[in-house]
Amino acid sequence: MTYARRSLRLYLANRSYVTLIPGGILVIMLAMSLVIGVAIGMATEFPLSAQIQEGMRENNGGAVYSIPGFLISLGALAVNRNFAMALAFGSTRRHFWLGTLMGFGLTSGATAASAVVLLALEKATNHWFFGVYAFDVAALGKGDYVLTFASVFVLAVLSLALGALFGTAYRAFGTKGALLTGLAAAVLVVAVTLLSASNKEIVGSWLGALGVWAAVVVAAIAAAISIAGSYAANRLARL
Amino acid sequence: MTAFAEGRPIFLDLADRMADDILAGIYPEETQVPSTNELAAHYRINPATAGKALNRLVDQNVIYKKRGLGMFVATGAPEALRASRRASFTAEFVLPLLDEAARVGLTTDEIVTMIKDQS
Amino acid sequence: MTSHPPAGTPSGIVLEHVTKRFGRTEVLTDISAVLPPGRIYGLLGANGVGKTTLMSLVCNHTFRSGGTVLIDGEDPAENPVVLGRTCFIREDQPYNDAFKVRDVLSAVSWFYPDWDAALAERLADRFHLPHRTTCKKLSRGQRSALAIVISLASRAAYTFLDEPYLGLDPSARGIFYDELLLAYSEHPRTIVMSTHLIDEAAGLLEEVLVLHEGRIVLRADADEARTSAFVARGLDSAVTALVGHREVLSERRLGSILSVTVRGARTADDESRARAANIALEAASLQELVAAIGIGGIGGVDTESFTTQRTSR
Repeated sequence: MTYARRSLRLYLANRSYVTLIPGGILVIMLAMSLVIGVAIGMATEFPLSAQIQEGMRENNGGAVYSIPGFLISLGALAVNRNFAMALAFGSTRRHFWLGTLMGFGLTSGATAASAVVLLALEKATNHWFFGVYAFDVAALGKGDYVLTFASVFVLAVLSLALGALFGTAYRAFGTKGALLTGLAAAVLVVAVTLLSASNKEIVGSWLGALGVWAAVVVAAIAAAISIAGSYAANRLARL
Repeated sequence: MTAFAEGRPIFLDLADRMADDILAGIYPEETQVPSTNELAAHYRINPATAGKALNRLVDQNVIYKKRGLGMFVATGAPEALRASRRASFTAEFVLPLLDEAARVGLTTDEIVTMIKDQS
Repeated sequence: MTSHPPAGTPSGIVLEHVTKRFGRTEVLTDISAVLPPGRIYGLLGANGVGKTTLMSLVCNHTFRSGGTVLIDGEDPAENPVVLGRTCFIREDQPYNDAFKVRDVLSAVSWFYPDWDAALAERLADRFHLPHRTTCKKLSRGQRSALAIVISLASRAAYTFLDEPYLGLDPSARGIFYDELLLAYSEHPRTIVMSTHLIDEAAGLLEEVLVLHEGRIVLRADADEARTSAFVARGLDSAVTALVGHREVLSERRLGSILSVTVRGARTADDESRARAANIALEAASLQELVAAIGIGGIGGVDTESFTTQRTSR
């Protein structure tokens, strides 16, 4: 653990990875939701009608969409910026990967905690005073704190690990390698989707058994695959 | 970096320089000479090379090791150095002199006159 | 993890039949060498002969295509204990773009339990390294200075210096030589230093390994290597007669004047014969020796005869 902690500290030396960025992503998303809310309100009425509020609650996936965009690039950047330094300073690839993964855990935790805090604020302010739903939404579990935390956390881990996978593949195999990795990931997603569609009953019953946790579990499996992939690519990466 | 003679190991050159310093009285008998690391730092050379120079002087009984203290000039070292330099004077200085004299056509008498004029 | 000898006992670096191919190009061929610990080694040779690649292989920054590498008796690949004793800043070392010099110095301190913060501070001052400048804005000389600060203050048991004084002005090079010797005297360690600019640093080295066309063509005591070649210049026929059957590393002609770099020490007999035949004899510096190997292309010659292995000390 001593060795992995060195690379964790290297990750955390980029302080914004655990401070500004996690909260920042969600605040930007919230601001966009508010702007849209105000625009709709100006066209209709304040506070927003119950029907519009319900629509927002069901359909506003901003929290879900905003996270991957930022965190995939952060994951790729984090591994590529620090890998050469960690190796120069005598780290193994394994411990660099482990330390960085621990860092991803902290970034994801901070992001999920920010989401929970913002959800609490949203509820306390009667949905930002005029009925805007950004966190108390269907995609995050309709105001359930545990489900919100879990959803954001798993999504953040998945995004960071995907970024690390592509970033490391680029380092290990060059542009072509990164492209092939992306292609392989896409083929995997399509294959799983097709396989699920052709076995609707079985997959449906699995997901049904998981209930509201279904999305979280699926994302967690994808995250685990990405983590395994980033580990494999990391072991092959050279300077 | 102080230049050492080309084509000759540094440790030999350094040992000769230290012998020169001992002959000149810079390091009197029973006084300490610089350590391996001090020599290495001063001349910007590898400590192993400096150590070899000191070992050479130890082998020639010019300096000796006092356990835990360092290297010291042996009693009688300057006299011994002078004697050995005298012994090699002919080979090192006189023969090359005569060699060059023969090439440019100087007689022995002419050389003797030149030497006398200089001293 | 088993180890022979036990981990913690410095036993140096052992290379056995190490090869490296990039695609179909063989960059390093059958490299075998034993580097006992606690010495300063010079890894010499022209640009592009594989000096950096060899150090990368030893530190497992890149992967060897064949052969064995041991540091302190263990394969360094993914070995945290052994790799933790290494420090290898490449000549083109990438740093985190967002990091300032001071960020890099605090980051490196987390990796080395013996990190000498006071030394790092002093060296950074002596080299006038700007603490608040981001790494990507450093000049060539400043990058070299940063690598020197990291390498010496790490106190890593196996420190690899890759063209350490590239871009440094003469006074900064002087600081490097002094600080290298001081750090090495106070905390002995194994230092492997690659360079194609040899003469100024020749005195610092204890042993030299000369790479040519991916092979080690010369391994010698650095001080003795100063006498391992000489230059003879004179009339073609006279020089040829003097050289006899000895190995000629390189030769240059000017009309009927021939200038050859001959391998081996010149003897008293050579000197008297040279005088008689009006041949000028000069010492070949280590730089000239290495350059002569590069020009002469002796890589194909049986390397045994070029290897003066030191068996004991």
